[in-house]
Amino acid sequence: MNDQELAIAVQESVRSAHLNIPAEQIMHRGRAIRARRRIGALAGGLTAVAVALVLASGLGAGQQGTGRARTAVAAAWTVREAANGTVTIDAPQNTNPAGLQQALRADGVNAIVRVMPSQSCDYATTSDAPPAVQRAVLTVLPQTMTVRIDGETFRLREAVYIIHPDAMPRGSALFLAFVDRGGPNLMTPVGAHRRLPPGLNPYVPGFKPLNPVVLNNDTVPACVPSASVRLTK
Amino acid sequence: MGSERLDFAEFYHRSRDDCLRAVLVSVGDQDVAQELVAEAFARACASWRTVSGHPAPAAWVVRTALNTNVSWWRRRRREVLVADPGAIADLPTARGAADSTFDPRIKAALMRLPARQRQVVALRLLLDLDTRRTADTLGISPNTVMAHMAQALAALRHDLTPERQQESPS
Repeated sequence: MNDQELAIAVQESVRSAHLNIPAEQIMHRGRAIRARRRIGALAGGLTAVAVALVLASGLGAGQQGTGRARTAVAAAWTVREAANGTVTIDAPQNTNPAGLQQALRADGVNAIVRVMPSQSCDYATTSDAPPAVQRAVLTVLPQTMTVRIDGETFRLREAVYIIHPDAMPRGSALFLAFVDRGGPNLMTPVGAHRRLPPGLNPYVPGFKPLNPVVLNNDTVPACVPSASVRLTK
Repeated sequence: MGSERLDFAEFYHRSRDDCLRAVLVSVGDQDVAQELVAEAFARACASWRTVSGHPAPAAWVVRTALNTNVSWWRRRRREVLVADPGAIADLPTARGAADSTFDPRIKAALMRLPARQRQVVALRLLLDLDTRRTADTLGISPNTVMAHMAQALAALRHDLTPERQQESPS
């Protein structure tokens, strides 16, 4: 068997293999990849814009002599792709609660930041400030928005909290709780990794924020077992 | 944008089978090869302005597919050790028709080759790339490509030539 015959044998061995995926399907996926690259840039841009707007408005108020300081918490973004090809950008994913508490206190917010190891307990906040105080202290920017790029619709979710320390009653505290959703809870089903965009790690640990609450005092709420845990005991 | 889409569609129709066959020879599994090539073409589509200027876009697709295979493997971290890769071809496949597109005897011989030699064989024989282009695509020297090709052909000849013919002087 000479080289030519060998070459022909190898070529013939796979001659009947055909790729039958329609070009449209490939191009659809290609558009999604391209759009996601832009989404990544857009997401970073939106965070920067949100922070800039808040800081700018705080500065403006300060110039008017109100002395009202504002703090924006806009942490890292998590990008996820659903099975149907849509992309969700979820934030914040703050991996340094102690640092966040320190930063908020430095900004004049009497903050208490805690992390639940899992969703095995609830913080019993029995000393919540009245709703009017909650609304005055906390502004949550719109959490969802829809962006269309190259004909593809992407639904973005974000959480940017604007805190107004001046509206906090004397002796009150802002309580921020996060659920640790790292580790195996984030494991994706077998095969799901194939739908994830390149470079994204589906196993990134992170803390899911619960809604911030203004407390009447700075007593740290107790973490009581949630209903599901109690049932199993 | 419209002509770009037409360009890509034409490229896809022209080279998809060649790319699939090249990747199939490299990875040995029809389903995996299809997924890899489809993903590589999608990435080519996403970066078509760059890829269309590449001296060998089909080689770019195959290289991307092979890199993606390594990337997927790293994520899965699941390795199946097989004592005799050639024995796989003799077993009835669970996928049935899917793998029947690859001649089992030649598949077994190819799977016995080191991965780099299979890649060289795939690019040289299935994509018809010359030595220099193959070397550029794989990031190795032309001399290494020639050495891999010679070793691969020798091994294939040994595996595919009937024993009687091997014994008798030619």
